[in-house]
Amino acid sequence: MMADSPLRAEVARLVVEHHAALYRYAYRLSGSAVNGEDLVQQTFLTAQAKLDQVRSAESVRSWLYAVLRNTYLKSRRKRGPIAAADLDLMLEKVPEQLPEPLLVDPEELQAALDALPEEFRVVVVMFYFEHRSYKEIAQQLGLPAGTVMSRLSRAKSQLRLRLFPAEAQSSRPKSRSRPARIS
Amino acid sequence: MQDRHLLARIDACRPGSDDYLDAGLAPLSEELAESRTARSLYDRIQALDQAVGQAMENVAVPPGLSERLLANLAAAEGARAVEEAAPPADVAATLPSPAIDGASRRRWVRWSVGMATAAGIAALIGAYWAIPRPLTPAQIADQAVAYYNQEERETAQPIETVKPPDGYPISRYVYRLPGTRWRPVHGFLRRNLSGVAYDLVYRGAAATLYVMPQQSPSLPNAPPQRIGAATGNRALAAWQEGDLLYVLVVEGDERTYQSFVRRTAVG
Repeated sequence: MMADSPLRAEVARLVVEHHAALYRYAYRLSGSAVNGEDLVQQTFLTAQAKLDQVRSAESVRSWLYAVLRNTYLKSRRKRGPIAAADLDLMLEKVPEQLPEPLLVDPEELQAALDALPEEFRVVVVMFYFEHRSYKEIAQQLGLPAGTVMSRLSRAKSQLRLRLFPAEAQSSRPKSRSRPARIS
Repeated sequence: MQDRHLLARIDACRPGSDDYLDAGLAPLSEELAESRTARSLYDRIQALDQAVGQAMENVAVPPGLSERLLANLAAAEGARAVEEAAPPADVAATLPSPAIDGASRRRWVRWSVGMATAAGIAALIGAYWAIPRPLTPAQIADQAVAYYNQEERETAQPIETVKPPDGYPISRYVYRLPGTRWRPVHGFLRRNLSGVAYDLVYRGAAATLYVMPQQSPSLPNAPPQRIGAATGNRALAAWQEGDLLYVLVVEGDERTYQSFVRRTAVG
């Protein structure tokens, strides 16, 4: 029986312990409940097939995040690269006065993430969700640290513009429905 | 215009971390020590990052996700077991032909079909046992109180200004009270359940209503009016409405509990 087998019980425990966090991560990356659930499923299928790697991982959660992220990136690459040359650069002024209370609408956050180009979204989700440093992000993605710093700062600028519009508008008028594009 | 290099260095610092000391971000630590403007910018970005980071994890998990994942994993494992039990192409090619030894081949086919069936059945039974079983009402009460006792409720947000996520409504049996606050909840009932908790106050009495995507068939479909003795000056009731499990913990006795609960459903 599955529960009587240590291997199967191990997989079941992985699911019970990590499925919620993985789903949240997948949802923030993909912006879709259906795609998010598919990504989590793929991640656990990989874990089931590579239990030795899971066991030897320093952090099981980080290993699962990495599998999920790679699965996501692989699926996105099939759709073709983003035309980075078409994206504009915009740096904004950080609000002088912060709103009180300082709250972020989770749905508005998702809309802001969805508006980011793929390679920026991955960096910013790793930063906020996995709490990874820019150096760790660079190492995980195989990018120069300077590239990650630049993408992180531009992506965060866009999120701030979208999420704190009243403050942003005081320094730079813009429409909420058409976020600025970045490169 | 803010210095974009300074902004990039500050943006690279995780909220609440000492990343500003990182050699790769030099001379950030000196800039923060010497410039009030830089320090102010750093503080504001840290505060904004904190808010974004909290919202990032505020995602409702679909009801029944873990059960679906386990069932699909068991199905995949069963399919793999069946595949492995089937003779590989090169082995099949070396099997004696029926013309030479028909009885031997029939025995082999019977054996492999039997193995494949057994593996499939084992996987399905395993999937059944791997799915967490429903808790009894007593287990729910014990674990909910334990959870409630160790919780921090400072992060709750007023529902008047911040809408709670869809799919976790306040029960039809609980009064809508002004000043109600909500917050995301994780790890409820030792099952890694995630949902929403509403913190309610009525005439100075406090209560928390947990809303979780969970099926507990042993529970009633409405909160009881009489709950018997309260434990540790806390009254508790759990019930099921559709796919949602509701647990109400009230600071007070049965009478206080009844002030939060309607006699009939609304809506």
